[in-house]
Amino acid sequence: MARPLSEGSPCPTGTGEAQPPAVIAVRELDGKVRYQYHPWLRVVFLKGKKIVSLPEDGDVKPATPSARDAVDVAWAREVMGNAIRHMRVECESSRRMDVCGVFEARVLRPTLGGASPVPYSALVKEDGLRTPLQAANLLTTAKRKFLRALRAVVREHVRDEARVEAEISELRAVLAAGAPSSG
Amino acid sequence: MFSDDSAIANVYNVAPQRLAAAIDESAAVGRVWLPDELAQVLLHQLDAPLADDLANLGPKARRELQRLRVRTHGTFRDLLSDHEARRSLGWMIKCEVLLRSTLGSGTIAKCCQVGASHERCSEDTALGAFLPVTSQARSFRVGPILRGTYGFFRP
Repeated sequence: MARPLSEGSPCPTGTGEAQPPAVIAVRELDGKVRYQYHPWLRVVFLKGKKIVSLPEDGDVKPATPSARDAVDVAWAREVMGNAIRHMRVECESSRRMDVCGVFEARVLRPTLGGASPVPYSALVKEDGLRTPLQAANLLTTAKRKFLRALRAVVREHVRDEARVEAEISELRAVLAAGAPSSG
Repeated sequence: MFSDDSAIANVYNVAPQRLAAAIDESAAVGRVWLPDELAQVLLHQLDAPLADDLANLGPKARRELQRLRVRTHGTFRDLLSDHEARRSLGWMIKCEVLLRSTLGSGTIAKCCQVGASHERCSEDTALGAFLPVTSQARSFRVGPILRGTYGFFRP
């Protein structure tokens, strides 16, 4: 999915000894930097923001498949987090928090938290929705809104618009196959 | 979960498979009813007056119903208990129900052709025979949806 890891600049330690480069992993997709791995800090940055810390113990190197998987999962988490933030901002700006509320009750809590989906009858009572049908329509809207948000976030990392859907599929595959431990 | 950042932080703590599930569930745009809720909708629909939906039929469809001597009063439940009507229209009700549940709207008229040649339902036959309207409806890809998704049509 991405190009091979490439080397970056050396780390200026001042000791005169040969040191590992400060950035040894620059993973790219369509020519854009997806993330960078700093072995000295043992953290991964995405657009300058730390997104994951790799364990201190063990022989974790970005070239190993397991380390690459961990970094890929961290990247995918970041994309998902940004997509949810993106959606929330849109809901707030359009004053449609009801859309986010239904999405939370029927998608996010059940999938991420393992909660039971909130019945529409309860949403109608609690959130001032008029009918279950209205709530169902809101959920359709919310799902589409989230997918748009996800595409918008992924679009930041690919040059070719045609690659967006493929990248989302890949992101999903990375998550589905990811190790259960968190970043 | 949307109300504060701690909720979003959850994204970074759950098993990645749960995030994949969130994507899958979001991508299933038409899946908006829980099984219990869908059952309630269908039960409600069984007692809906037939006339309300049949009123939307175009003239060709109405003529076809008259030709088949389909009873147009009563409810869908009545229709299902009528052996002759069930034979000719039962499958159309399935279309209707599924269209409603998956697309959020739809009438028998949008579903397909009544009568002797209802082995297959294409856009032409469905729309040409039944829709009283419309440029909007003509873009409605009934045939492929039904054939591809539900396989109602005999080859």
